[in-house]
Amino acid sequence: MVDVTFCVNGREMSANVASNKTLADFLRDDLYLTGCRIACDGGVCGACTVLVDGSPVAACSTFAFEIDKSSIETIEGLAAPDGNLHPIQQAFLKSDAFQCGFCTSGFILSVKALLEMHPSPDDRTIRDWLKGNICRCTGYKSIMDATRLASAMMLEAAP
Amino acid sequence: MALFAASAGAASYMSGGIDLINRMKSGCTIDDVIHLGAIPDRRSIDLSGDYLSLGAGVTHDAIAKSGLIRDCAPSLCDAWSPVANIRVRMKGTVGGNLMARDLSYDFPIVAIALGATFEFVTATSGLKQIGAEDLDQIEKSDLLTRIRIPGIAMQSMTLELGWKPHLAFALSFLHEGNYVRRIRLSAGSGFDRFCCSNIHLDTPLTATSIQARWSEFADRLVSDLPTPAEDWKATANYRRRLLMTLVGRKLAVLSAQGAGSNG
Repeated sequence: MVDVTFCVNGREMSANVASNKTLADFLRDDLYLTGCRIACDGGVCGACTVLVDGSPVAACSTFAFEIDKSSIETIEGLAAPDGNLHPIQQAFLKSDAFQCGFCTSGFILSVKALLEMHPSPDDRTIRDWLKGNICRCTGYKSIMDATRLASAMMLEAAP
Repeated sequence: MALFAASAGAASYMSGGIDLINRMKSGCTIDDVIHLGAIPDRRSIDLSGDYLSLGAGVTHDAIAKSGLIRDCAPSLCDAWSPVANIRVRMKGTVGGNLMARDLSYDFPIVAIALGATFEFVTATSGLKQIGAEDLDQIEKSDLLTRIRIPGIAMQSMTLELGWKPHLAFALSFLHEGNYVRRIRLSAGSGFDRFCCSNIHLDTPLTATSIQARWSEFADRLVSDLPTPAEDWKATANYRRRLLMTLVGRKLAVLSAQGAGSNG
């Protein structure tokens, strides 16, 4: 077992985690943050994407002990405390960029990391960043549209 | 290394951890995981003379974005920018990629194509240095510290990953001014082991000369490799013919673009 302290969605926490536990299992089973989805369980599909210190990671391919002294963002922490959705969430809604929704939290967090690094990404950059997220039902055009819309909304809202 | 030696069961070093966690999920039992994250200097990228020196903990993303590498070996940055996906690039390390010794992984064929050497600290003999082609001589307890690529400014390379799992290969060119002195082909995926072949040109060639002989060069490079793997995905003969076609296309395109230039 390993003692870890970390910040998840702005809340400081500490825990004692099994050294072979994945971050995905820890978030889902111990913190009940079930927006982190497990699908391929091999770091390929991107459904379990969360942000660790702002970088996208596959929570299913990360040990829970690795988050010690890190800041974690999951889909549950994205909306404002008053319930207003984040611009990326709004853009996904407006663009109909999901159908069953299973992959959506991973896509949204990948887009958040992308737009923090590239506020106005070209299509090639969007494709490169999102090629590690797989959607089985919507197709990718609406997700590309949502990413472009989110970029525009966030740039417009920027001071 | 003392922790590794003291382990009563199976121990493993952990760099980015992506390969390790997937191996554990596949049933591989690891009793002690030794996290290398706190070791200083594992993430440095240096240019010493004509040697590019990469710490074993350098991430794939760091290679793709390194200004230092972009200045001396832009083709390496270009080849490495689209590998895997952004999550793997940001977390995965070149050391982990090499030490996994997985034929489907990409950095070993790049290291072989560029003639890299690996530096290890070993439990028995202290420091050890091996060539990239001798990857299978590594002991599990050996701790990879650095990867050194000689003559980096005189080399250019290209990577073909689009046909995995049937094939993946890297092609490198050793330049001498506007001439090419050596062409090297390395492969992993689609073979039973990492392998490479070379064409040493006694009379250095310009890009135009290579373009005129791309078919001959592709034939020679592929013929000098061992027989490809034969499995349910493809026959050895299919892989050999596919490789010859793909290498030929790369040579034709690169020479048309000016393979004589490493910029």
